Amino acid sequence: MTTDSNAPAIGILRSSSSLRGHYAGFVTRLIAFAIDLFIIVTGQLLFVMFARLALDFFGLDQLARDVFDPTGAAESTFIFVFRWAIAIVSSGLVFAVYVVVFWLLAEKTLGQGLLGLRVVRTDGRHITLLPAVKRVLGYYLSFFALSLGFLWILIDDRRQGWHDKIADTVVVYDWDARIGWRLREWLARRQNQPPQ
Amino acid sequence: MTDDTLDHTLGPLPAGAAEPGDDLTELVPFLPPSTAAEARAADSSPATAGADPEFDAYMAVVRLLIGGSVEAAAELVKRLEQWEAELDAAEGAPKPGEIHNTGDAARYMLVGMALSAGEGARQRVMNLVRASDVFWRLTGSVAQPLVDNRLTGLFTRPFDRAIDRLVNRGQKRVNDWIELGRTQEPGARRIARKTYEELVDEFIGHLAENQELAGLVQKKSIGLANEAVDELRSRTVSADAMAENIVRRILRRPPRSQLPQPPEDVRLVIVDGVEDTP
Repeated sequence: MTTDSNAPAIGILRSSSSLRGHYAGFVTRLIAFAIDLFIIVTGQLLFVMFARLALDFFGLDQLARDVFDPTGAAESTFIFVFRWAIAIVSSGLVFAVYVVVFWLLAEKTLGQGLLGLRVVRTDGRHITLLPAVKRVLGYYLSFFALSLGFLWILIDDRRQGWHDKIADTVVVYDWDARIGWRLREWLARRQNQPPQ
Repeated sequence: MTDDTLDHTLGPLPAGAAEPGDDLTELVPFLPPSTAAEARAADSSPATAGADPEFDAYMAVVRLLIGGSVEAAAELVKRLEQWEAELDAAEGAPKPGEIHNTGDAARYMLVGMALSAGEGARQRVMNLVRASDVFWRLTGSVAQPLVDNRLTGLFTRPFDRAIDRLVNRGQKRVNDWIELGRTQEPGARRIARKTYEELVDEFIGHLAENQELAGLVQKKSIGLANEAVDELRSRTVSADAMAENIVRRILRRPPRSQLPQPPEDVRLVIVDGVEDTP
């Protein structure tokens, strides 16, 4: 766990000041990620549907059945594994291309844009191709490590996941984010409690 | 009611119903053409209607009002019938109300009176008609020898003729009204429908072309969407802090009331909008 000792601390969580430019938290990033996943999965389903329709239209329905819906008798274990491998790898590639292109073009994906997030380098520069690719690879690493890499956001002082640390990036609020007054009061009450 | 039925009921229309000098003949020149061909010919030049020297604005407005009333009443009756059928099908017949106090009883009495008044009046009129029929049959049979008598006929015949003329005039007037209504009602309903459709179209067109209104609707829609997004963002920001505090509590770390401020470079780019140099 890293501690950003150089960063001056302010009592921002208990004030109504804007959090614009501050590091974004786990829940916001998780929802943005879920929105991105939804968009990608929907796009892939639509692509498969149209591809199948096109194959049917051009009389290649037998080929389409062999590719998309092979009968059990004709399908060996090898073909089954091969098909799933193709599906998983292609989905991963589509996801990687989607996030990298959006990061390079707008520094945010559609989900991150909706939630008001922005991905930048730790020194404030725009994210470039190499850090973007590293960040995507870091996604997979964080995922396959029982998602510990994602959960790291919850305990890291700069709210960085493993993928952020690998790519040397941070995710910040790109809007005038403010903590709700109920939570501010709750935090204030908890702060006033005597230490146990 | 067909023409045959009408003639049978009221007798044939007297000739010259729309002769000059009659009170109703002023309306007759504005009667719509009776044949479809004439109607098409009349409808084929709507643009010249405004220039028609014989166009009577008063009659047009009266026709519009009558047509509107008839159309509205017909539409209302149709809707009422439809709604009642729907309610009956959906909920069945309503249960009778309960009487808890004298106020309820008085209210029910007034409702019952209002509903029975129409039926009662109808019954009384029917009784009166039957009574007058019986009276005239009785008195007619008794007075028949006197009326048919040649001697008394000298005195009664002029009165009979006067009464017949009066009846004929009344019958003619009623027939004129029926004919006028029969010929005018379709045109009145047509112009009412046309006016309604044109007004609705023009109103919608005006709404669509009104830039201020369109801008207002657009602003409201965008404002609502922005509000929803802002609400979602605000809640997720609070959820970020809450989730961190929960995790910190589990890990027995003190709750965080502070966030590390981002480095100056990040602050310059995000907050102040200063673009970085490659």
